[in-house]
Formats: sequence, structure tokens, C-alpha cells
Amino acid sequence: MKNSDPNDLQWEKTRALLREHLTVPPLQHPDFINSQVLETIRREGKPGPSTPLFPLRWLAWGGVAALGLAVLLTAFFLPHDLTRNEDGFISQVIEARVENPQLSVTSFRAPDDRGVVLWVEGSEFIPANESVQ
Amino acid sequence: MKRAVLILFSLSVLATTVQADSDRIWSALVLATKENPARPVPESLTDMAPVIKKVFGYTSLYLLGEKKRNLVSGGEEWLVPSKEFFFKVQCLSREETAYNLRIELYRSEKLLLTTDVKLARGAPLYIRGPMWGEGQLIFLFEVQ
Repeated sequence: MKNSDPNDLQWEKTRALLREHLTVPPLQHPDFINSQVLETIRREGKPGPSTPLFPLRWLAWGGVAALGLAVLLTAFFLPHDLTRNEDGFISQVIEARVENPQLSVTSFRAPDDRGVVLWVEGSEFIPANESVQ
Repeated sequence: MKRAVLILFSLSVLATTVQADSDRIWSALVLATKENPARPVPESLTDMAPVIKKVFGYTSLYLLGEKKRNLVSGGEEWLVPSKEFFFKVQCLSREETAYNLRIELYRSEKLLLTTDVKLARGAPLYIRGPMWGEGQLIFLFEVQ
């Protein structure tokens, strides 16, 4: 019954003619078009943007803030360490005097500059039975 | 976030300030003797023992007393590591890496020695004291 419909017959005839005569024009840049199509499919298939706990932008700003803080603290406090020279770590006796004229005192640096020594000569001997503690 | 950074900054500043202002003067009365074998070095004298052995020539150390006080520029502290010997320490000024101190050494109530020293952190002052029995008394001062 359907085949007898003139419209259908006409349509079948048109399709046959199209198949016979219509040819697909060749693509000029098939790889480019293919990549564009794939990219579109990939983009549309991707889920929508979510809101992570720490967005990347926040992390970046956090890093910048930390760096700024480090620079600030360095500028305020580190120069004390950077500007000190070797002499800064060495102790020295400016002056020493003894009250008892029978005593004498001299000073010298400890080996490897690990301190300074005040050498008092002529101190009174303290017997072992006397407490010093 | 801003609050966290602010708190972190405040804590850092506070910690650095406390650290910078918390220098202390440590003093000790030590008896140095020649013993064979040498006895173990007291823990608080570990850093100084090599110098004491080299300079004074003793092998064994006894820590008879020690005291520690805060160092405040313009301040004055009494350090009494023993009943017999004690020290008055005046902090004359503070430099970037050292303290200018006036140290007075007393035996009982008698002033024995006065010295002005520039004392850097980790570079102690060793004072050779009198002989006591078989050993030598040594007074130590260190900024810690």
C-alpha cells in the first residue's frame, strides 16, 4: 500500500538520483576540521566549573603573601645578622682591675677565639676544708 | 585568609622580638682538677671544657654552682652561684652581637676584681680564680 503512494515513489526516485549524481566535495583541511570537532566535543562533554576548597587563585595569592611576609621579616630582623662581622662574635676584655695590689690580672683570647680569659695571678690559696659553695 | 595571614605575621613578630630580647647571662663556679682517669664533663660545661683543659691544663671539672639572669640594657643583676663567691653584672649597653658588661667579682663581701667586657653570645669569659684544695677555681660567664 505504501509503495503505491505517489509521494513515496517520487521521494525514492529523488534519492536514487541524488545518490547517483551528488558527490561529497573533498575537505580542504580535514585534520584541522577534525581537531576542531574533537575539541568541541571534549569541551561540551566536560562537567561545569566546580568551586574547590582552595581555588588556585587563592593559593597563588597565599604564596605571594607568604613571600611578602618573608621579605618583610628579613628586612626588619635579618640585617642584624647580615651586617655583623667576625669581630662581633668575639668577646674581649676592655678593662680589668684588681682591688688587692698583690694581685695581677692579664687577659687574652681563648684558643680558636672561643671566648676570652682573665688570668688572675697571686690569689690567696683556699684550704680544702674551707667551703666555697 | 586575611585574618590567618595577620595572625601568622603577629606571631612571627612576637616570636622574633621575644627571641631577640631574651638573652641571658649565665655564670658558673667551677672547680678544675687533674685526675686520672678524667671524670665525665658536666653537661652545661661541655662547650667550655676543651678551652678549660687547653688553657688551664686540668682534666676534670666540677660544677659547684651556676646562675642565670636576664640581660637588660642599663640593668644590674646579682649572680650568686655560691655563698662564698658572687658577681654583680651591670649591662652597660647592647650592640648588635654583644653586650658591654661591667662585672664585679666578690668573695664574701670583699670586692676582688672589676672588669669591663664585651661579651658576645657563645664566646664565654673565663676568670682564673684562686686555688682551692687540689684544684683551681674558675669563674665562667656566657651570654646565652
